[in-house]
Amino acid sequence: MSQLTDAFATQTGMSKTDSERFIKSFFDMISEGLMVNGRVKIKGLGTFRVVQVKDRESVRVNTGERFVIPGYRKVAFTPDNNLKESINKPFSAFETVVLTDTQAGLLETVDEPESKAAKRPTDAAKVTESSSGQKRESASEPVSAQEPVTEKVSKQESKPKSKSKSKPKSKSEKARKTGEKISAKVGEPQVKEITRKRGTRLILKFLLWILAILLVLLVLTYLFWPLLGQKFFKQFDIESRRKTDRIETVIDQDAGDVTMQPGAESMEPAGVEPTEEVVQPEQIRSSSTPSAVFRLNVADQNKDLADFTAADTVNYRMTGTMSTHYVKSGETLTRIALNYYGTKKLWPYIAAYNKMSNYNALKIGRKLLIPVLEAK
Amino acid sequence: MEQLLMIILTNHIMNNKQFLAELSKRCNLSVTETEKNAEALINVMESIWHDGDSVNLSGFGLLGVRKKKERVSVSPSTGVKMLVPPKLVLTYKPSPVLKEKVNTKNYGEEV
Repeated sequence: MSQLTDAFATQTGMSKTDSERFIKSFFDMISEGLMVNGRVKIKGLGTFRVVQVKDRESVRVNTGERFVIPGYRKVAFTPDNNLKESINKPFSAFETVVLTDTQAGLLETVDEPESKAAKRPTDAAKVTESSSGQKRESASEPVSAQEPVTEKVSKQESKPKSKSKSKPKSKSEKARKTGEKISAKVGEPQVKEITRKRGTRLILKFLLWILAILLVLLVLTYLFWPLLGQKFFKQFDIESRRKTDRIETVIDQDAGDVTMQPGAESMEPAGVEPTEEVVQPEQIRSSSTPSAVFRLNVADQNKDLADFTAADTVNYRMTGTMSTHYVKSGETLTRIALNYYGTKKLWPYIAAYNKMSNYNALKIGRKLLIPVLEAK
Repeated sequence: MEQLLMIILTNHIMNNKQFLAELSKRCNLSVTETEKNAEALINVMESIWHDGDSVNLSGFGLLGVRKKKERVSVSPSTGVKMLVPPKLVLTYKPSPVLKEKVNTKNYGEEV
């Protein structure tokens, strides 16, 4: 403390009492800030913060009964990155090295004497009780008596095969492993406690963020719903329609083939639409020939291409009006297309030709112009 | 619930600016002066740490340098063994006075 104040006074040129006061208030300020805010960040030094430690259960070492260690708050400090580096300067030349297996093995063998010496006593104390009986059986082997290891090892030793020279090595390895396990068990709870706490906090933060983002998204979609909805649903409608149409055309092919029987073609449109004649008999008759011709083409194609894909529907041009059609109850665009072109697929041309905005609202009595389609 | 509350509580950060402002009020100094002083103080402490000594502040705690030994770490996912080099680390040990203060009931209420 006095060393610090002296050095500080000389550096800043303040009087000793002043510098002492400054230093005192500096650190008082930190502790007060901790009391109020829980976290104090100081440039060039680091962050002090108060951390809540949860209640946790533990076991009394002597009696084995469980008891609860009550939670508490502790003050933690993480140094500033720059400060960390400057303090670690003497060792900054070192870097973490990835070890190959052989290197690791060498290191372990070097470490073994120390670690073994430290860990084996505990090992031995635990194991001697359980494996003492078996040891007596295998007492004829001096090696096993000297190195009381786990039950498994002593069992192996009692077998005649284990007398080979390679055994001691594996034994020592096992001893080390068990030792490590025990030491790990001792060390684990504390480490786990800390990491778990950090983990839960991180997860909670993460969840909060996700919630916030979701909320924002919800609000945005609510605001822009009209726009989004229109576009999306229009597309969806067309697509779903096309899909159903494709399925139906497959079925229709059979029907089409039936109607393709000679002589039946010219009769067809009239047969399907008997009421059409009542409304506009002349136009239907005039249109029946080109539609029949067209139907022939389509039907030929259908015969050749069993899989008449949606892409084919783009391959036509509209060149003038074939006829006019008045919509009757129960009719749809696809039905009309089927009547005129022999396939439901080409309904979009009718819609496009009439500049329809809403394909679903087809009013009864509406006048539709049926375009002549020419293959491109 | 408690955890959430603690997060909200502990996420109140007193940053450098606020800290310096408060400190300047207390010491009757201008903010720029206090900033200079604080920097100087940290530099002095740093030089002390470079010498390997620790700074003991009564009522606050002990800030000192510790050496961490090199160790072999195994990444749990890949199983790759790494040799982590020795390190010098700045550590903080709060004084019993501060510990008690932090664990009193009215923590976080006296704003």
